[in-house]
Amino acid sequence: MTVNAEYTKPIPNLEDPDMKPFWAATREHRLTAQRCTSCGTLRFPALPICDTCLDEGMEWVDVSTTGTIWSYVVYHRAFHPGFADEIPYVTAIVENEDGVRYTGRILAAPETVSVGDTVEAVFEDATPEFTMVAWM
Amino acid sequence: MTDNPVRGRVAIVGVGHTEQGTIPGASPELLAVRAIKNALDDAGIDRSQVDGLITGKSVQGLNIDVTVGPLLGINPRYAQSLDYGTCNFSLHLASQAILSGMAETIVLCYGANARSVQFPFGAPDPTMEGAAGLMHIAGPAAMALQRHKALYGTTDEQFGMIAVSEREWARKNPISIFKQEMSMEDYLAMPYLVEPLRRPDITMLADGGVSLLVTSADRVDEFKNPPVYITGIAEQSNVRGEHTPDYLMREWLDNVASQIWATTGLTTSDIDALYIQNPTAVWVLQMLEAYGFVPRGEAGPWLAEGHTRPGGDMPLNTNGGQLSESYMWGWLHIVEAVRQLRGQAGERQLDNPEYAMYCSTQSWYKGGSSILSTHK
Repeated sequence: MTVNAEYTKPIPNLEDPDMKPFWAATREHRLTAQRCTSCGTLRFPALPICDTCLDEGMEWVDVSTTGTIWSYVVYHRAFHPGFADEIPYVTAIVENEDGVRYTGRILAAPETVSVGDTVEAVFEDATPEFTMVAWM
Repeated sequence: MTDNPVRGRVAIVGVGHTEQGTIPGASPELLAVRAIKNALDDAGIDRSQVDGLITGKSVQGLNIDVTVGPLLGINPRYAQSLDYGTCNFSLHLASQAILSGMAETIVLCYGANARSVQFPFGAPDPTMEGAAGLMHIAGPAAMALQRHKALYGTTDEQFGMIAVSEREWARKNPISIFKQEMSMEDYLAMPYLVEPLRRPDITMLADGGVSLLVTSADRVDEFKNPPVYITGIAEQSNVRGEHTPDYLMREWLDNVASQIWATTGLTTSDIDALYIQNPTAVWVLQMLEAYGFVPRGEAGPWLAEGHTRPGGDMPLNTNGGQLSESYMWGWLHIVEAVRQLRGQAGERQLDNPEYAMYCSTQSWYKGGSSILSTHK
């Protein structure tokens, strides 16, 4: 997808200290999660400590870009003006093959989407700094 | 039955609220104090007899004890603010303060002017969710409903009975904001807002204030209205928030239910009037199941049978709830429960209810429940 200089939708805080490595990886079109270096548990969204064993050692690892739709919604109203030209649009929680859940747009017509569908991550370069993870 | 140190020892002796809707020019604190005046009048006492103040922050983050205090003109020995709403948590804190001797008569209040200042309630967070267009409480609520539909086959018509039933009740309530008739056909003909939610499945922004007066059971004779006693209280947190697996389904609410049924020795069939806080109708669907009014996954068919409607055997949100009466972060549910138990609910009055139950949540983070009764 081409970079859109007039990107008007919300942009996450790319400098969030916990999430910064995740957003950096999306620039390289990689999907990642934190992994505890003590107990190995994957976690996302990012936390500065493992909520399974309370060890602070962690690394960011690439994870599966294949997932299933845990649930989804269809916005028929744009609560933010940036989405006005895109309604109705589908947003879902996707659980990937490693059991990590991501919230992202589903790039498909609403009537074709169902809970349990298998989807693949796609990386949309929204601005020169921000790449969004979507699914189709 | 497990030990229950609350039963019959704390009572609600006053309720008050302002008009609801658009009230330009009044701050949340002013609306809260107007409601307190009405609660004091309802109880037949003067503010000098109040030795505790518990405020619930407005949806806008205003209305804390030190901003209400100057307008109320008293310095009660006990004052606290809660960062979250619904009144259940405030009522529980008041019960604890009274039972521990920190205060004897506590005024609780909520105030908001979110409607007239057009508070940006649905604005996106600077997160992955916001970037993906998931915003407004309707978003995650719709996500939970879609999952419920996929798991259990819940239909739009079954789910729609929550909004239709509340509207039927709201039409009997003079302060309701939404009073126009809405049949199931009308409901189903409305477009989706955040599918599978329609507009009537979601609350509205509102200005207004609500107040409760809570005291020790030893003092109830000092007040002019009949007391409504607290039979039991329970809470369960989910402070891990979105890091709890399947947090949107909120099945951790089962733990509030098991506690309150165990400590009170009551069952669902003892409840004559049920109140469930509902910024969206999804909260009702989830809590009916969590509290065991219907087994998990079966709320849809049960709702379709009409139990919750006027004349039904499990009257639910007889004030019209947050879908039709007013938002007020759930506080008006307890006001209505008190009025029903006193026999002061006008056209909505149930036939001599003895036990009312109020169930509420702070979105993904906390769940609370209280059972109220006409007797100790």
